[in-house]
Amino acid sequence: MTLFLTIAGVLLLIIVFGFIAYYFRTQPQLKPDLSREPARDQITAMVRDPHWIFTYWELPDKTKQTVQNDNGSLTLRVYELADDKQDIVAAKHFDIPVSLDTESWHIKNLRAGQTYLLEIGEILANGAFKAFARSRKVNTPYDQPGEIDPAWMPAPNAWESYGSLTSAGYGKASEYMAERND
Amino acid sequence: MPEGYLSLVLHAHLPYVRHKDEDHFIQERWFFEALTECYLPLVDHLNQINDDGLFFRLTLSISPPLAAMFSDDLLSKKFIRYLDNLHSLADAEIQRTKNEPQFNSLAHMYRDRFERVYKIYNKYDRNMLNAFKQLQGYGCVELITSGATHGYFPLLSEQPETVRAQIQQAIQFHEENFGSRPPGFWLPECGYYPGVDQYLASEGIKYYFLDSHGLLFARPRPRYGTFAPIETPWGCSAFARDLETSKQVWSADDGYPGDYDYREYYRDIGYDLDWSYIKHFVYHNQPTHTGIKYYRITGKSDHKEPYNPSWAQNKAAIHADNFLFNRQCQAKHLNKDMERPPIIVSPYDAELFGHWWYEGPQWLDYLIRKTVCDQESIQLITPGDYLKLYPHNQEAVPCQSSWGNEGYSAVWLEQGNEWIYRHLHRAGRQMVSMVAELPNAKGWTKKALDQASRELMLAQASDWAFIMKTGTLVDYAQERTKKHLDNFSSIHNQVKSGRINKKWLNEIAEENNLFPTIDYRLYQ
Repeated sequence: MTLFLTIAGVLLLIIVFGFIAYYFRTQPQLKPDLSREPARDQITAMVRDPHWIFTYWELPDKTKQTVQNDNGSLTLRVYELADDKQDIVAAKHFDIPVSLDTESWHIKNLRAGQTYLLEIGEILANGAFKAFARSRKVNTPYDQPGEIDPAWMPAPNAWESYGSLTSAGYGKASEYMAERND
Repeated sequence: MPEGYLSLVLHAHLPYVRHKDEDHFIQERWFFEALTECYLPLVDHLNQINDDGLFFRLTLSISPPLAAMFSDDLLSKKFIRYLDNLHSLADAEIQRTKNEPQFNSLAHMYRDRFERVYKIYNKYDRNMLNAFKQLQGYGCVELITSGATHGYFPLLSEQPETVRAQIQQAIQFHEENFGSRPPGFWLPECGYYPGVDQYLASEGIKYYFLDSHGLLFARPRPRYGTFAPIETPWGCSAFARDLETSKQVWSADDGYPGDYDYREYYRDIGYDLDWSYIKHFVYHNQPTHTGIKYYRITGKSDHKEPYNPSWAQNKAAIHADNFLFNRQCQAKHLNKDMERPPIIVSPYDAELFGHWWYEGPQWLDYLIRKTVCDQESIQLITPGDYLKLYPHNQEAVPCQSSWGNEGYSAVWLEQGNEWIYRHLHRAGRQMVSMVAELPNAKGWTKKALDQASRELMLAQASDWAFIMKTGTLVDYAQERTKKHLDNFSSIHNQVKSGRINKKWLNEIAEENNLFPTIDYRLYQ
């Protein structure tokens, strides 16, 4: 009898633990995943206005360790391309030194209607630049009217409003929408 | 032939706010207030004009989240409770002001108005989609759509698949709701970047709208400025907002809504009267707008005089006359060196009419009637109709732009909201990657991926970044962004591990129930 009860008890425990294990096995990972370790080197360029690009990047710890081991300095390289077909080898560029714990940057005073490409990398002790990640090419928007097509010469009266565009400003809608949230 | 065309465009949008577990969620009031003050009065006016036998044309963009809220049973029940409360408050106000004739007549006006709103709402079976479908059927309204959750496309373009999905889902949802595909598309916030047209064109969209500089800065320079559309290399036509008409209506200083005879938005009895009295009629624990306002703008100081509806109505008629007169002059002037009648495109946020500008629906009513009945030089038209008359237009590439402050993306990309993009982009990459790995998912996996699509889209709504920028109710916008991204991330982990929590998935699918027929493969 005692043996029977022991076996029954063990079986019952197995069933209960099995059920608990199964239940917890299927629980979702509800922990916020917004700050997890990035899987790869990556940089993104986002156009804010004709003269301003915002960029953010993600570098895994091992990349940051590489910079430290190399005694290099983390650097944001900004290429200014003649058009979106030009290769970066022939392109002008400038560098922005950034610290290892920086993850984004606002690049200002850029040119309107220009193609840009960004790289995040390190400048080594010998001055060479080693890129970890490259953004896609982005174009800053124009801030003035373009060239005239002789087949479509501008109608003078239709272009009078351009004056009021510059004096009154554009993009006024959001000022009013802002009040929605009071 | 008229001397010019006027294209009135109203864009109606609110973010998807629906909380099934809370009876009185304060942000749901955005929708209830808009229904009471804007959408129902607008429908009422448009129907009355149509019933009077007047033929007019108006373009109305209804964003998918708003369309979903219009037909949602839970929100409908909550709205009726909200309206009942307002009605009780108006009754109480009639009693309270019985010895103050100037306010008592206004209390009666509000009660009558709430009763009218209730009547119209019931007429359409408590589903405003029925009202807009009917107006479309009458031929007076051209219905178009916007981004699925009003994502701001220029800042989502890092993952073009997510922009395409916003467009495809919106068009599919529009077709499900209104029975036909939309001819046009309202780019959320007028946010345009070169190339987004290809996704619109491939879905059969004929036209979209830009802010003025989006077209004025096009390459090459458009001959007719903003007064004719251009045809983009991807096969869509782009119309642009007219500057003059924008200013006349939008501007708080120089525009009509700032007239001293119009109702003052900021003097609401929800703030003016004692809380111990008001609290019985609002469900929240703090003073709030009730919609009952007794004062007119009066002047620039804090001193306010009682509202006089007759004066305000008279002023709306004068302003409609003035607006039309200015369009006649504008068209006559433009016509001198154009080979075709100009089209003056006047897009407005629909909520301006009735919510911010109380007399806005009345002004619109007068404007339409005067344009149709009193003259012939200006004709109302929709962009779709205009393209049928003038299908050949100058080819040019529009300029990246938006109608936000400064004209580009500064509103949705600044210190208060820039943090969201790395997470939105990552989620976008993960979504595209999951679809590539599981192109034929079935059962619970498909259900999980469909929900992941909803969560990603809900996180992408431009409203959250906008609210974070404006600095009020930031907590709610941040919470919504994080919640949808958390949900997405959990689903991603579950799909990857092959272990889907069905109970939890059902719960969030019930909570975030936008787009019941969504198919995750639109991210292919």
